Amino acid sequence: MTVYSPASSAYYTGGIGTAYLFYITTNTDGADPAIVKPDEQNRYWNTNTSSANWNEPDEGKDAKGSSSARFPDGRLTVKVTASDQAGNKGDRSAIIILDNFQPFRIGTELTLKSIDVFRDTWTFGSSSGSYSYTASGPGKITNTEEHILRLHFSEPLQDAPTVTFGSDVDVGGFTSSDDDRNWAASLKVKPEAVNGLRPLSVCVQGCKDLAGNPLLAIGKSEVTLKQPRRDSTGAWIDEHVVGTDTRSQIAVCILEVNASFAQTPTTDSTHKLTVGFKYGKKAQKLKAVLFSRRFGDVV
Amino acid sequence: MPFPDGVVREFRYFHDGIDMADSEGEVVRWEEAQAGTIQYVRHDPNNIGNGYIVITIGSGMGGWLYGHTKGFANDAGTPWTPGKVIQPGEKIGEIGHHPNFSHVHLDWIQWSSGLWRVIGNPLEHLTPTTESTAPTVEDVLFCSATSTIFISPAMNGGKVVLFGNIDVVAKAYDQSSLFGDRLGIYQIGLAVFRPDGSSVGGIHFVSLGTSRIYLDCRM
Repeated sequence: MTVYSPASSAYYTGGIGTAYLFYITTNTDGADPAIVKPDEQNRYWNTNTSSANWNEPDEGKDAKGSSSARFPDGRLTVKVTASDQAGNKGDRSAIIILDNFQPFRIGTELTLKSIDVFRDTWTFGSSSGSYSYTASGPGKITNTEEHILRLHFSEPLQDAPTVTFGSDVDVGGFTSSDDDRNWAASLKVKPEAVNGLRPLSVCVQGCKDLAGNPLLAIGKSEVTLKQPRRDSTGAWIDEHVVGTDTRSQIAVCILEVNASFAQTPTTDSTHKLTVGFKYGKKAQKLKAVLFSRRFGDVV
Repeated sequence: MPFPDGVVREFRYFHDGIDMADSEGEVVRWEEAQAGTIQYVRHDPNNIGNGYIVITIGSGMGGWLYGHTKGFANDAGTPWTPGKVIQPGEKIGEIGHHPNFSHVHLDWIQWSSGLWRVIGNPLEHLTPTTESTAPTVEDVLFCSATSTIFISPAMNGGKVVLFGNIDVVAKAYDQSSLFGDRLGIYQIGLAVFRPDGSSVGGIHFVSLGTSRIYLDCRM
């Protein structure tokens, strides 16, 4: 932004009077903000910096994933404070929405009474500039108790996500936390669920970030991800298909519902979760067949 | 400067200096702790506000310009001419006539490359100030590095979506209780907060030590 001397301004003639004055608050030195650099006109607030040096436009310091951005996408408040020489201060705040990245589901947790049953996450590698997928589990789960499904997104969402978890499982209404980045809902097996063992995907869709960008579609086999981000002109880099995220796969074993004793869940090497539900005598034979096989075979 | 209560107020600043108001004919004195050297005297024979005197401090070429003044002579009536030395407490001259209001315009200046140039805010050298009216920040605007359009949340239904390199521009002024004029801001800065109120970036104050920081525009 060009900075002019007031002495060269047509509006300067005759003094300030009742004129409105506009102050650029971003043309300072990044390392030492006390140093005003009005002659270095191309200094800005780099909203996508990964550096503590907040106003040094530099592609090398630009964040390549929202996890490494100093200023996170979503709602932020910019507060401008002005003071006079006597120390009197006045201020004004403006709420903005930062939109340097497209949103994606960055992690999932399934818990029973605060104990992890399943957890997966996308971890950002600063050297690679991409995210990698890991999952862990399982814990013990029964169909007589309510579980909590927590979805973590890379930035706040406008509305609750639409989540389906197979026809045998009910997902309750979502509530949000952390400024609408995290969403939680109860999860319970339907009473009429049919006995059997089947893989289920947590299908997340229909949600957008505060700027209106839709969720990234992430498939079952994806293990690395470059998060789409804007270049200096605003165009998207590393574009990715958007739509339904089905990456988290949980294999659910539903036996006879509401019967007498529990089955300890197992998992396969790809971290797919087995959920054992209470079963009765009629289901013992089926149970023996199902749990003698690896889930990799079943799924 | 013989103000009735002996304090300096922020009457008008910062149009390359400050204006200190008082009645025409009030005596203006050299209140520096050390002697000064008269460098330049401009008389205004019509007394329409164009007289001024430049006095430097010590052996350097930095000092003060007293604008809209007249009667450049000491208490004994000896005229001030370039090269003469003025001692602390000596009379410089008097406040002259001004078409708007009588005042001394005070600049902190230095001789450089053949010109007297403003080098700082006089208020940094004149304390204490007792003015108590806080500055007003009327609006906060944002301008993308790839655009010339200023965006204000107030103009966009409260929603402004930003990305990349941004300039944050504040529409602000200070107000004198004496004249009601909109004055310049002494310091201004920004801070960024998350919705929960935690700070993302510290307050970066821009000290307006020079007068070259604000935009050449009205909106």
